Amino acid sequence: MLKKKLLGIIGAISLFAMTGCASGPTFSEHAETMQPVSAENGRIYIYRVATLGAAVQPKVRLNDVEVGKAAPKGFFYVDRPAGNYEVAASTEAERNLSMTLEAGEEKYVRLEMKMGLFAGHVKPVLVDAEVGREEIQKTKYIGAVDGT
Amino acid sequence: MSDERLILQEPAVIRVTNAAKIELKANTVWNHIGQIDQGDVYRTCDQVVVVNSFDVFEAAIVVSESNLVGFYLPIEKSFVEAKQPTALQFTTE
Repeated sequence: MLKKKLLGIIGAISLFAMTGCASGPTFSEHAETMQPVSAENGRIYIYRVATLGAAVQPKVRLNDVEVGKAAPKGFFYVDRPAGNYEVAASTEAERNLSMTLEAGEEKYVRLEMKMGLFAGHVKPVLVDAEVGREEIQKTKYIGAVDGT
Repeated sequence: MSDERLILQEPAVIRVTNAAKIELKANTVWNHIGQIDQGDVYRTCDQVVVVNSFDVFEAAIVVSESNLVGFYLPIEKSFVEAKQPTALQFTTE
């Protein structure tokens, strides 16, 4: 009886975790339809690999403008002119990433889940392009707020 | 700012107070982008360099007499000192 109850709870938790994950096309599927970045812009890929804390899916902002959501196993990207940018995810403890984008450059920002005292929060971390290109393969396209 | 380009011959691990350790890879090319009171400032396109503490800051390295003495945060326009100066093995390109 106890075993049945336990299995039921584990099943419910697993289902909850799964429903929190991104469900769009994989990176390689979406890559076929992606336009190359224009000469005057750079591209920022933002992705989250971890499913830990799947219920925490804050908005992601770039220079205080909402650009997407921190969905587990999800990615999106935005093209922006060369310049300085700040990436932030809106949780109770906000952690920021500041970086410079050059024209023609690709930046990869991994959204890491950090456990706080009362709730989890999301920390944007800039990673090497080779690391980002590999990790983003494990994610699905969820789209940016501006439609890219 | 000059056209000086340095190639790092050996990898290096740098520690900064209240931040994750920073690893510099061998064979990365570093371009001179300026000078601050603490030394010459170089950045590279071959790897990401960040000071990863509570927030994360993209950074350039600051070198004085072949020692890495800290990191320059171009957006914040501030200097983060390394726990101790670290000798870097550079060759010029």
